[in-house]
Amino acid sequence: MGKVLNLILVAAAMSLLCWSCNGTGCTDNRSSIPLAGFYDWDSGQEVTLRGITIGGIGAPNDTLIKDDTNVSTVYLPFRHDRNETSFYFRYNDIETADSVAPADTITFCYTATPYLASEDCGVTYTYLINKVMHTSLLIDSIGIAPGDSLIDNIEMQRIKIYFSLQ
Amino acid sequence: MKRLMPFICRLPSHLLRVACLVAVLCLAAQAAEAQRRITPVSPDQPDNKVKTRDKAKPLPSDAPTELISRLAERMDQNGAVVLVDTLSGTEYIDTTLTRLPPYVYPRLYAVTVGVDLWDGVAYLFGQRYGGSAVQAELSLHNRFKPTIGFGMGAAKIHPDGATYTYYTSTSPYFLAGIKYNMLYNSDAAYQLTVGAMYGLSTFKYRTDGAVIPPGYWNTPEVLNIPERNATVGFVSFSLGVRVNLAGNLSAGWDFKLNVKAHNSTLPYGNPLYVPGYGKWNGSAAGAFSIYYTIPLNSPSSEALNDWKEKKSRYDKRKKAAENRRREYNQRGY
Repeated sequence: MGKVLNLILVAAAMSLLCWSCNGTGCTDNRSSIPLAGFYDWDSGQEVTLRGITIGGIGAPNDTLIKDDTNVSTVYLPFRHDRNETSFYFRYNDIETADSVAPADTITFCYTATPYLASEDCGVTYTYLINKVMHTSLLIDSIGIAPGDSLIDNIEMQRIKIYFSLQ
Repeated sequence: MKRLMPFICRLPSHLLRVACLVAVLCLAAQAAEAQRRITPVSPDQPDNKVKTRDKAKPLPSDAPTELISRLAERMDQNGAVVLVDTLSGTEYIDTTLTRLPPYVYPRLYAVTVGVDLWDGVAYLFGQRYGGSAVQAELSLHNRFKPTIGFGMGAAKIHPDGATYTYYTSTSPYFLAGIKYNMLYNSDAAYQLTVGAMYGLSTFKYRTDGAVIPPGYWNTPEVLNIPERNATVGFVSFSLGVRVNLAGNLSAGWDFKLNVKAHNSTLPYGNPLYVPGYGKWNGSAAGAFSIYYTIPLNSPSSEALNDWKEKKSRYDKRKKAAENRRREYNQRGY
């Protein structure tokens, strides 16, 4: 009888072990929003741009992403209902004759795909970046590593924007 | 003696003394000769033990009863049991007890069929995914159990606070592997097993009703990911106990650790549930099964008792041999 009891106790302990391993919550980026970082072209170091305004071209009510602030990174949300999204970067600290702050624009071309990320994070889109175009007032180049061209819900900086600040 | 006495009395006293001295010396020499004939006994010398064992021969199976009755038993330093005929000095190796029969149960011992009821019980507690599998295993010596299985699984998962519902359609999976009963020479009613099984699952899954929030671009959307095929292979390591309930019925609990081995390309994301494997992000699982055993070759009760008796004697003698070896080691031989 004692042997049976021991075996049943072992079985009960094993059963308790199985009531674990559920999800730990969505710790990732729920909406697959690409994160871009700003870098100095000459030194390769991360830089903070002062007095910059960032917004999406065609955004409803001209909503801004960043409004005349100092930033070194920015989330650039892609439109999932289109295959390309454009953003403008307005440099408010640069004085011009007509008092209109100059700006650069960046256009991302991509393929959006619906994606079941996980039970906790739910459904989102992934964006496979095919092409990037930009103007070159201050922007020198945009770097996306070949392995990082797929934007998913994992929180990491996949886009590097290099500025010529001299 | 009466005739000798007058003669002895007439001898000179000095001659009598010499004669007594010679007699004492002769007795002493005889005693010394007798001691030299005794074989020195030094039982603790290992060399003597090895020689004794080498000279020993197997006890004939048809040894007469009177011979067996006068056999004395001892164990040499290596643990071998040696029987010594106390009259003739002949030594025999106890071949029947120095080697224990490896198995109680025959090679083709039984076939067992089991049904996993774990997910069925979990369903009562609100789990909305899972399935059931039927497994068949062949018991070899009650030790090795090659196992195959077939199961069906499905899922309908609507996480708390989420807008989407995930579906895995009712799909099959297959299992093949082996289990090892660690209590193979004990009572077959109690088993403690470890196992490794390979599983292959082919299924379809889809997601309905996912709401994409408006976001920065104010583009809300209700998204349905259409049904996709997937194939997932996995390895399941298990630790389980099994207890006989009544007759040929047994109940078994298993704790399983699942590891994904391979999967097909999943461009629309990973499935949340894989039949046979469980939750995609989970690795631990459980099983509660009911088994029915069909005996093929059962050992007789006499054979079981005989084996138990031999095992008991073997264990005692093994322990004695170990003690003796330990004693030898302590003495520095």
